Amino acid sequence: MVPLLDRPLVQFGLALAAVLVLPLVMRSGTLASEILIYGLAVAACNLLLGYTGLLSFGQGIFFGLGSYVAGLGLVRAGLPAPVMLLLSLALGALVAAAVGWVSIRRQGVYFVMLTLAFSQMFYFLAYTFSGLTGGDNGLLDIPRPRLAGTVLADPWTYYAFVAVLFLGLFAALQRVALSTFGRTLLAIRDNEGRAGAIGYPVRAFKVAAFAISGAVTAFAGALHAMLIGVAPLSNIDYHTSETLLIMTIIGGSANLFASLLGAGAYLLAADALSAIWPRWLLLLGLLLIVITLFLQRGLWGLIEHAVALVTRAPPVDDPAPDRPVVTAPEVAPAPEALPGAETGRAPEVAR
Amino acid sequence: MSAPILATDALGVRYGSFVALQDVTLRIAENSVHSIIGPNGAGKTTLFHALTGRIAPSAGRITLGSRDITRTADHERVRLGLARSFQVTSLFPTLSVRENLRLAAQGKTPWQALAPWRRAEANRPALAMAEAMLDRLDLTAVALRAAGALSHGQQRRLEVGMAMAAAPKVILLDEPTSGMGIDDIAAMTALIRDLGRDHTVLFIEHNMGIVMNISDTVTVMRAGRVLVEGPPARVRDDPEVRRAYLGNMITGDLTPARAHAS
Repeated sequence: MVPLLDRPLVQFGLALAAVLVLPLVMRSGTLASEILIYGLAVAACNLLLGYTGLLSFGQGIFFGLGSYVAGLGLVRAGLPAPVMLLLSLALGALVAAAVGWVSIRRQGVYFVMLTLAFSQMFYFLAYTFSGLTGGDNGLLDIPRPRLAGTVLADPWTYYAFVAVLFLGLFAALQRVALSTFGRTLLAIRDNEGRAGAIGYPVRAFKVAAFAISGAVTAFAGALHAMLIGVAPLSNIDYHTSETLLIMTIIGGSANLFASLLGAGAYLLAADALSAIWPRWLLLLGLLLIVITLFLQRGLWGLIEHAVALVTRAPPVDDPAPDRPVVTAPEVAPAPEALPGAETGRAPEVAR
Repeated sequence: MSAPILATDALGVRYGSFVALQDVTLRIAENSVHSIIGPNGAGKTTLFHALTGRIAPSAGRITLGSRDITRTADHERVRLGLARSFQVTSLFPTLSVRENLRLAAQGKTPWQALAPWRRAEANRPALAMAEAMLDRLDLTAVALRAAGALSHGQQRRLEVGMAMAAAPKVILLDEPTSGMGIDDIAAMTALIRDLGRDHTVLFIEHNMGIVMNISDTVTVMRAGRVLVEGPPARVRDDPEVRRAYLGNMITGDLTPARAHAS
């Protein structure tokens, strides 16, 4: 009934495989850690964009917030890393709930504008309070976490640390996506008006989605600051929000593993192309145009397509005639799956 | 007559200076089928919007059971037992038919659904309700299909089923047969008649055949006011109604309706 690739165990298996394969095929442990960290932030972005249909430019706020929280706690207060990670989770949820609570008062373009406004506001807050954040220079000298007496200085050791946390949060997000909550988010994405009419307090659901998304994003931001040893101003920049959105769309919406795929593809392409050509972002623009025009389910959609071709190509001609009526819908889903591709664009609600 | 399950007192709705609804007083009896008819622009859908809480009335009172719900939020009214279907089909198009119904049944306990760790399968009553509705609506064969891929008649049935899945006390149907073919209309009529046995049904309808056939009470509206109210036979023969509808839709369907009502 549930397509093979969407089964939770398969999804988690794919994430686990990716975590195990990255060290085998990559030379830079830093880049590999970055992929997992952004993978988390993109999955969190997906919860809003892909699952709830909320195009938020505010994700960078939470990513930057997590970086600063981790940096301040570790550098100024000398608190242990696990405490700071938990704190970034909590503060991320809190700030995201507040930003969400205000932004969801409006819909469509005005919602987007509100998140953009918040994004600018938090950027300039960080810029202005340079005593706290280091302003333009960023918050420097953030130490790597210490585990069982040793500092995780080696890139691949830190990767292992990140990988365990990544898998834990990935599983948690899966649980959220499959819960009554996650499935109601899909309903809100599809038709907000009807979701309200059948009894759901839509605003509460949206705020909760914001809080969960913000918590995970801030957590990723904290991991990122420990990775590079700095909490740069750019982490809270509007550009980070944009990058996270682009990764989400490249990967594919409403699928969590797709988010890791999107983050990985973006970062690897950036790494490879920037070495060859400094204006590589031009190519990224081109890729984004192609995906938006022809591949709305992103790279993940491409994989689904490929798997469907391999596994289902022969049976396509024979199933309909001899199957009983009840199973007929199983044959049909291919065309019906398409509406889901519209990235969070809910159909017009009857008023 | 027992106390009405749903009542309005001098209900009024204004859009700026335009009066959409004025001085509407209704008494909907429990477990009855009550229909609202009237020419376009009579305020029928506005009345529904006010009853379900989509728009706030500018005057008057709405009572559900013994409770004043005039200022109650729309999703809160669902929990209190008021559900509606829409004139223009409004489903979750990318989700399966079964999931549409499960969501509608789960909407009865919406705060429980907010728990991000609770599996959807844990709410057994909602699952059972979805199955029962699939059966009652004759949609079991297409349970896994995306709602957006159903035929029009199936979508209209699902639309009504979404309102039923919340097991409401009062169910409001806004033109349930709109755009339907003859075969589908017969199925829908049977469904509404069946609903009237264990629910209170309030519905807007243009098809006079259905209205006269299955209603216990008919309210005729015109220009935002109640024109006449009563059992189908009396409403049909009312001179004011005849004047309001003269040469209009009621004439065509009079004959079959009379045969049934008398």
